[in-house]
Amino acid sequence: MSIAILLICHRQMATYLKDTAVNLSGVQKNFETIGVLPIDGIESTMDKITLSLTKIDSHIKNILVFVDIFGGTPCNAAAKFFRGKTNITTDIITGVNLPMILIAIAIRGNAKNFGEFLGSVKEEAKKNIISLKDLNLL
Amino acid sequence: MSIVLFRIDDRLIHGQVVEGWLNYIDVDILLLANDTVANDVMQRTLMEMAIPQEIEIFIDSVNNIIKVYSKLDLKNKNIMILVASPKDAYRLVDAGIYLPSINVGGIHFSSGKAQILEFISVDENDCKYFHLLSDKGVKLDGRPLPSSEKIDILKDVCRYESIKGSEK
Repeated sequence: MSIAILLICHRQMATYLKDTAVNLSGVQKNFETIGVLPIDGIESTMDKITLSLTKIDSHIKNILVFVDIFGGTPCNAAAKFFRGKTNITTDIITGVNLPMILIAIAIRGNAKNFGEFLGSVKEEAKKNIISLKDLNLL
Repeated sequence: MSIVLFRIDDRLIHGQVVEGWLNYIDVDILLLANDTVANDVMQRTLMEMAIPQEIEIFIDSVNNIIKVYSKLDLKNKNIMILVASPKDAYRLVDAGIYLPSINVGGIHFSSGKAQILEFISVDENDCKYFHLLSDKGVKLDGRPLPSSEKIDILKDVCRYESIKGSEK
């Protein structure tokens, strides 16, 4: 099973997050980014999503969408775009952070089931929010 | 009762509203008047979930929000009004839901519109309703965030119209 990643954030965040992830994990195929700029509304963001999907291998039917913040334009536009698309299996995960991108990159090649894959990504994302004070390291 | 913010923003509830404005002003009730979102369960749910729980939110058509406004017990409540277009703002103002200054937070580019500011694109209809709002004595306070510089949108609208007029 092949899984594509689509990262949609305000401004340049997606570009820089991917740049950082690639720097740590190596060059990625089927990993697209979208920056939502001040001039963008929901409609133009949806146009950008359409354009991004043309860059993903056409045989891939599973797409994990990361967005920066729940309720923001990247989130609202992605929800509107992907709802009811029966030819693609997708989920939108909000509050993207670097650990969740890294785990998604690491395990997507061997994933057998999209639901389990999503579960692992979400678990890793939460597990990596750690206070060093709580660990008595500060 | 007082309206603390009346905002035009075609993205309606999104990051700038939640993080920028709702952390800056004290809102008890948010009235979102939009005929499209009123009938779209997914968009409604996303928007309802995005705002802090202590704020009561009403999402409905413009006509229904006008009715809600007249029936609600708004005593001692701080109210925020959110619409997507100058036209919808005017429909509320014309029904007596008035604030001397309306915040124009974002109207995004789409085909048929001209970009007059980084965050404002307009067509003839938008310009018409900006003028009608101004004729009602409403000041058009253009800024995406409370900390942004205030821009008098009407000046930019008039400048755009004069440029467009001279092209004809």
